[in-house]
Amino acid sequence: MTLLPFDTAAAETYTERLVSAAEWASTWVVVPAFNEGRVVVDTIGSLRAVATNIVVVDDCSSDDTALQLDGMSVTVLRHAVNVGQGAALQTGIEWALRHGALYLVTFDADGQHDPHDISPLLTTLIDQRLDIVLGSRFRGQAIGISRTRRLLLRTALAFTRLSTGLPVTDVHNGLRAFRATAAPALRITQDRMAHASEILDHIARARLSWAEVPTTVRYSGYSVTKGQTSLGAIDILFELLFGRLRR
Amino acid sequence: MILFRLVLLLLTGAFMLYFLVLVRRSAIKRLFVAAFFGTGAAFVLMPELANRIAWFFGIGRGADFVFYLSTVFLFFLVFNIYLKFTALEARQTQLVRELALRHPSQEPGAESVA
Repeated sequence: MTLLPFDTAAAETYTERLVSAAEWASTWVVVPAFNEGRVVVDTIGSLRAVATNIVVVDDCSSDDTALQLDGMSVTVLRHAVNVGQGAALQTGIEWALRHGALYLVTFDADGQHDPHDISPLLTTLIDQRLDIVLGSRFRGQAIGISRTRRLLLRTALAFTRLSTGLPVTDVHNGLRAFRATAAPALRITQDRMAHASEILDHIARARLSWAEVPTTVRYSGYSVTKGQTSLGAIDILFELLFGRLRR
Repeated sequence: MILFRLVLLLLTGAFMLYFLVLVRRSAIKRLFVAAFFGTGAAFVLMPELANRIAWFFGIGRGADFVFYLSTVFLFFLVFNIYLKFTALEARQTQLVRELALRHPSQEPGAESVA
């Protein structure tokens, strides 16, 4: 654990201050959404209570995800065809960059994240002058996580540590904050699920400065059915391997 | 046998012409196509050649050698198509992204256009 750039001493100082209104004004929260009609209003509603700029990217949902957001004060972009979560994230990131974002936050639409975790992420990013701050459920809390899910994530973690050399404690956590200046280096080309590992790849390759902040991930019955199955890990592995061949 | 060879040669020639016309952009690909069909034609005209090459590689028959060669070639082709396909997907993503960015279906404060 001493390998980690984010030691416990720093962890105690990061929550000291709140994110200022000016900082919120230059922050965009990017929410990729695919068939989240049942929960998207709750997720965005709770996010709205803390964040100023929110862009939801509807990856051509077949349900009423986009309609549910009608009247909420958020930007909604809709993909004309379904291209994947990684692609949706990148679309939202481009939007944020074109609208003057200095800081960007990625946030999952299924309600597994706690919006109040964004604040420590942002203050750590800003005060410690880092390129990117990653949320870690294993430094924080993983409520309702199943044994198989934990095992799956540990396996993915071992693979990622090996391939990137980054001493991270969590992978595939959708909650992160990064600077607009780091966005070009972080550009997502993995359209589907491998983007989370790809981001870590980019961090290692571009030698970005980074830290992890404890976050809470809440596994509801809903997010579990929506999330990856254990076989998903194998899919991600293949996407990464073949993605590498392509580069 | 003569007729069979003649038909094979004609087919090979026709395919070669077709692909040479089709592959307009790169000289390397044209050379590759010509070499591939040229080899095919040579094997049709001189089956002994295939046998001799096969023996050289320690393979029993020329037909087996041709079969292995075609397997390798087909694998190469499939891989090539896979690469093309992923490149095409990346372009599709770019298009979809640009479209979404240009026409937001909802913006805060503005009337909904969704």
